[in-house]
Amino acid sequence: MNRATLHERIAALIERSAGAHRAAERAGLADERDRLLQDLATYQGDVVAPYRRLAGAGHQSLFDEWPPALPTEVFRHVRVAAHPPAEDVRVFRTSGTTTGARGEHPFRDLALYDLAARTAARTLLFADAPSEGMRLVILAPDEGEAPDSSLSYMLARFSEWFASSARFVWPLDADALVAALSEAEASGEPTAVLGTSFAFVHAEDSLERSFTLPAGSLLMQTGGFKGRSREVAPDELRAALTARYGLPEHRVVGEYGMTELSSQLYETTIVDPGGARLYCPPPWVRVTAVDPERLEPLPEGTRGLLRIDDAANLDSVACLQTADSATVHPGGLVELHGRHPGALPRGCSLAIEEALER
Amino acid sequence: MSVYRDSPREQLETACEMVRRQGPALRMAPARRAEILHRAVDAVARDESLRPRLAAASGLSEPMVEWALRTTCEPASRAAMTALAEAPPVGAVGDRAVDLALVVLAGNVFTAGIRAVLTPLLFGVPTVVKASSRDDVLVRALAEALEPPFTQALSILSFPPDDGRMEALATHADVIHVHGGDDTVRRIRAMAPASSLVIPHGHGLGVALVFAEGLDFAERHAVTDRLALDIAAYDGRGCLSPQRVYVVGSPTHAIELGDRLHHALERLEARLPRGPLPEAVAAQQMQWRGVAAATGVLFEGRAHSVAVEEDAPLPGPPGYRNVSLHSVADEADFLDAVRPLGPHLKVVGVAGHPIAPIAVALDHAPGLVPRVCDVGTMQTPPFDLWPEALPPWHGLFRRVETR
Repeated sequence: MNRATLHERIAALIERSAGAHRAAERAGLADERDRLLQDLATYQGDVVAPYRRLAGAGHQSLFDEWPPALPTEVFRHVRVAAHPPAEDVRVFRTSGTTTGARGEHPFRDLALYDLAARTAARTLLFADAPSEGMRLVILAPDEGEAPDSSLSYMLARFSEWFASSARFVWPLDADALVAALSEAEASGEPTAVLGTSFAFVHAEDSLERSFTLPAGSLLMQTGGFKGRSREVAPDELRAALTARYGLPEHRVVGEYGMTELSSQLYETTIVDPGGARLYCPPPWVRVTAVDPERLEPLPEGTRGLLRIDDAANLDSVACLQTADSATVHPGGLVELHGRHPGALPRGCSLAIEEALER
Repeated sequence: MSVYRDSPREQLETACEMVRRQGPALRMAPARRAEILHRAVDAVARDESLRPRLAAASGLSEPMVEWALRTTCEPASRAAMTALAEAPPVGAVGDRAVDLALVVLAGNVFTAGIRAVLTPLLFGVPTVVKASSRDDVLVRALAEALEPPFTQALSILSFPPDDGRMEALATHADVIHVHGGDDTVRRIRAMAPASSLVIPHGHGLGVALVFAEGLDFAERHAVTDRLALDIAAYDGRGCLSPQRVYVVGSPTHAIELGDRLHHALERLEARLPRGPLPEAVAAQQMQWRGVAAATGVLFEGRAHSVAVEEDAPLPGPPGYRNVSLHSVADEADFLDAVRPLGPHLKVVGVAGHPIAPIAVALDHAPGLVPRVCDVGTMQTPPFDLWPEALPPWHGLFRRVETR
């Protein structure tokens, strides 16, 4: 199986997935997805050095029905790519850790990333957006300021694909944000306010008035608070945001993405306002909660670590093991419980990194 | 013995004063103190009802708890305690014990309290212990096993984090032994009066140093079994737990040792099973093992892993019987690798080479004060250990200069 053939198959699956968010629709594409993931893993096992080594080592041999999943931490330590650095068109980087190491996800082309991001957002986020696009207010740096941020890249594409107009409010400035939101209010045009959870918390600290965004508006928040000075419970933040922006609660949507992925998961509240607030993977993505120690798949409804097999990750590794705690419910919808902090219950043992930091 | 849980500040101060007044009652022959205290240790060691409670509180398996209790209590023999009680050179330190010691136990392996509590009592110093309320099972058992006059000379206190109450305790103590992380030590130093001596026993880690070519076939087998025990003890969560093994020799030596160690840990699992793995640790373990498998050589068992560093530097393992092996060219290379750990390096276990030259080299390395011992004894220090290169009676005696 060569790259070009895989590229074609992935693109075809994503295109067939457009608009598919119901469990039955996604299930109808699952067999094709699983075959594709298996072929991708075989291909990547040949051409991606750390994945070849992981697979060859028999790691996760306790569970061998699926291809091994590469822990996302590996992206912080070695290059995970099927191609040499000279062929990179873009490298997305994770945020730094306490040790300063940043994970890198190199891309040889962004066509599949774009296709995946556009299809998933069109299906679950901008599902009822007017054809002429929405007014976007973006609480994140634009692509030029943060060229290695996958979020900034995605939001920049959103401003091309889904926007009648777009305004990046960054660095976050209360006056600029008030002006953008006031204009949105006055325009009567559906508006999407997009940003990180932390940016919204920061905005909450500085905004002195509330807004009533026009009908059809929405708010998308992504990411947690890791390493930030202030944390706010998700329910509390959502309540604050609905009040601040004058939106029905179901129009506040969570997005789940990672630098190491090419695809995103969204909460389903736009397309299913009465449903549970859960994250929906696109049909080309397989999500599984696995036993934290043995890494075996767990039955639906059981809490474990989230494994994500993203068929759009052609030039790195598709099968990834995250450190996020989650439950995958019937129908493949994901309940996130959070990311594990680095600090561990250790007795009096000190981690090497902690010792070296002092 | 008195136990105070979440008591108000005034009550804690009263408790300190009551304990402090017991000093004269503890003035007796050192051998007599050792005899009484040894009986308490012996009672704790024989109390089988403690094991399930300690297993639940510590997250270790019951066999591991039993091993830890045994290897902590056995060195506290009557002879060893007597020898230590009689060891302080009166001419140098004075013959009057200080009035009150405060022992702060904040995040330790569960047996750490035994030596921490016995030491000041052995030298006749009334002692107040600030313990974690979730992890005070063993010190309470020890206190309950004491006989007069020690029963009134030891008080166990626990309360949620509260600088006000901690400051009140610190104010009363002549010497404060802090067993905890650097932040805890700093906080207590800041709140202690100038007249109180604060002795830190900070968190740390151990490493092993194996000279592969210094071992013949039979010795390699025995050494890996002993090293496996060092790694498995306390599930790798103690400040004496080896997290890294440095192998002097070629990378092939490291891989060979890794393979042997993996099998030794597998055998040990049957006798001393690891405790349950918290989900957060499992997540970190999964990531760490993945990095090891993707960049080096990983030997993975049911409840342990051994990683050999190859293509990329391995991050520190998450404990819980995960350990990494690193090739070093020689002793100097090893010293370069561990020097940045500074005082956090608590112990170096050596195999395949006499320990004395290694100890001398470490003694001359600025900032390093680890105990140096044979592999297999890293987690079982002698009762008269000099922690952080200070004598156990440091700060427990005073004398007024009259010359």
